[in-house]
Amino acid sequence: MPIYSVPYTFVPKGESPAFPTRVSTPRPILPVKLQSATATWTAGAIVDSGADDCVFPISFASHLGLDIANNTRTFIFGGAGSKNQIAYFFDLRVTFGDFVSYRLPIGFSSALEYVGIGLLGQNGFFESFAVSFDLANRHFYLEPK
Amino acid sequence: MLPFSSSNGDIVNVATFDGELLRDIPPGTWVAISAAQDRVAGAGATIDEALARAREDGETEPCILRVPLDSNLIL
Repeated sequence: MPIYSVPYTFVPKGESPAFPTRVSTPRPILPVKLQSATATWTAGAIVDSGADDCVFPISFASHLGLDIANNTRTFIFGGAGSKNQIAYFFDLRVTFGDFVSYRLPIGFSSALEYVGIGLLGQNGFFESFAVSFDLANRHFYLEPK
Repeated sequence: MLPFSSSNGDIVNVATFDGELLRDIPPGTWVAISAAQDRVAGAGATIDEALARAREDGETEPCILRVPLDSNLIL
């Protein structure tokens, strides 16, 4: 299998007292295509080794025709600065960076709404790829398993 | 390269958008990045606005995300 080389995205950031000269911050963002039985949706997602699961903003679910209201496959999770957030999970076909696809459990949560981007966590993503981060060279690398 | 790799050495470059595309877009705005990842095809206060503008621009399947709020720090 080949190794996929992905450039970091340097996202613009405003000034802050802690980092007055910082104008951007690097994020390992990967375009991801989510496919339900009725629709497809392409979104940005951060490769996040600290996340347990793959979770996206809850508003994306309606665009995929997913029924959140009647989904009992829920998971309660917490993150830095938050607790008791609910994610609703569905098994979806997921294509990463337009090069390889898997059927994976994907969660949707209102906790991700304010950041407006998905998280690719250990379950689902990291069990499917060997991942290497090389920020000094502004790239990260993915090898499908 | 990956020290644990069993790869045959082939490297495939994956296109992602340049963060500078978001530089002048207000924080909190939803954006639709073109399929080629080379431009913002639509933007708006809601996903539907960004998506509609992208589709008017000929992008049927753009990549949707939100411009980070200045206070955002993802941990």
